[in-house]
Amino acid sequence: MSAAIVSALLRTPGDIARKCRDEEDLRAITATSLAAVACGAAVYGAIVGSFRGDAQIAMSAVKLPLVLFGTLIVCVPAFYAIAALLGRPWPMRTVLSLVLASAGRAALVLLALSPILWLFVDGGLGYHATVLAATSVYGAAGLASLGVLWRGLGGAPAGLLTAVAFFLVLAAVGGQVAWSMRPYLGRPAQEDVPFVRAREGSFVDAVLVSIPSAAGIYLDAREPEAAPPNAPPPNAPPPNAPPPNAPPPNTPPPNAPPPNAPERDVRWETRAP
Amino acid sequence: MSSESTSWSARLLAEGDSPTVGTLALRVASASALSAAYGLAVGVEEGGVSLVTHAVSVPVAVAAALAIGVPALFIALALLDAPVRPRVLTVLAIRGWAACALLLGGLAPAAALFAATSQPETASTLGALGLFVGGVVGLLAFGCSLSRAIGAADTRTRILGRCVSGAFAVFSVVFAGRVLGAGLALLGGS
Repeated sequence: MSAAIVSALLRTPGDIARKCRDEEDLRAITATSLAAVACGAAVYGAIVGSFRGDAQIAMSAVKLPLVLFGTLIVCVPAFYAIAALLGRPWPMRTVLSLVLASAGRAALVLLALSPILWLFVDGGLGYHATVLAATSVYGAAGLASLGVLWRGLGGAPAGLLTAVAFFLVLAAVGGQVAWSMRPYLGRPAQEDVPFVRAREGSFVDAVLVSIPSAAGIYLDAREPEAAPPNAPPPNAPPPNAPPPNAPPPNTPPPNAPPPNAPERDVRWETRAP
Repeated sequence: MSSESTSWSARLLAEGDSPTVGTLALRVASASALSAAYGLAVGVEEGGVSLVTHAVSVPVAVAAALAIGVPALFIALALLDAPVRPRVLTVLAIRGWAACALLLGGLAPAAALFAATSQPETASTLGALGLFVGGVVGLLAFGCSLSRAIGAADTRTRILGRCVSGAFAVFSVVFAGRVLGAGLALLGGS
């Protein structure tokens, strides 16, 4: 890890971007950026995990670098193709070093903001406020990364379309990778926090569900589907049904969970108004 | 020599109407492989035989649309007396396919990620969206090159030539969609 490269990443991102384009010092830039991403993301992850404490600190410290590296691995081929199609047919090593340098700068900003985040978490910040604070820190780091990427693409207006295309791919892939690797904080209501949750749909699905939730419409209060014309009312017993109060054979006692019932999803319970 | 002129993507998308047969064959092979990579990625959602089906269907759909559409486009352009030779049109069509395939290949890891971690409906929608965007990019690359190729013709020929190439674009999208729809569960096929 080169202190000179770290300094250049922070002070003169345009110089780093030019070196990536001209293929100068690529090895040093790449190695330093990789180390910065690993360190910065791990520290940030540990701070985020400290909201719950114990094993969650280590789990988040491992997961955050994985999320960043996973996102970069998936995005770099798309960036290579988009840059080539929009008039920048750079070699893969140029694209890779430029993206890594951007991520490295973001990770350094994460590293710098992590102690502030920790102060808030340690001071008893609530769950949702911590989520907001952590997201804000992550967003600030993302803005810092644009300093390298934007200069590398040549700035406006030449690089605008490329930058927009990069952003769309990065947002979709980054969101999905981060979503797949949840949880990072761990909800207070949960007794055990798994390393990774079971597959629960995509980031896009979650956003589509969250939009009505933000408007006060909670989709967990599911309404019955629209009945076809001439259908019996929803509470009417079916033909040949037993009397209303007669329990069917092998009926479990009231309030007993059904066999093989899925684990309760406490997310919805905590979100209900 | 700058890196821009030597990168693999620069060679794949290089303009010029006189590449060698070997260069064209390499370009077709690269485009087929990149398209197949995208097909393979969207096939991850179902796995098994679906991987092969999708990997074969995507390049076949594009190749079929070009094989059927480009000769018809040449006939229409010749009727308009546009200054385009069959070889030039073939080169431009292959370059358009390469542009489409380059984007599809670049998006393949992202498509695999969404196919493996999303609900089937979301994965199918995003997979089809990627195919559509790739097709549009390829057709734009082809259309721009064709416009330059017929730029020396008179105004009437240029305007009509662009209308004909627009019709070709619509045909290509519909035909490729039809072929993909018949073969891919992604688009409601088998």
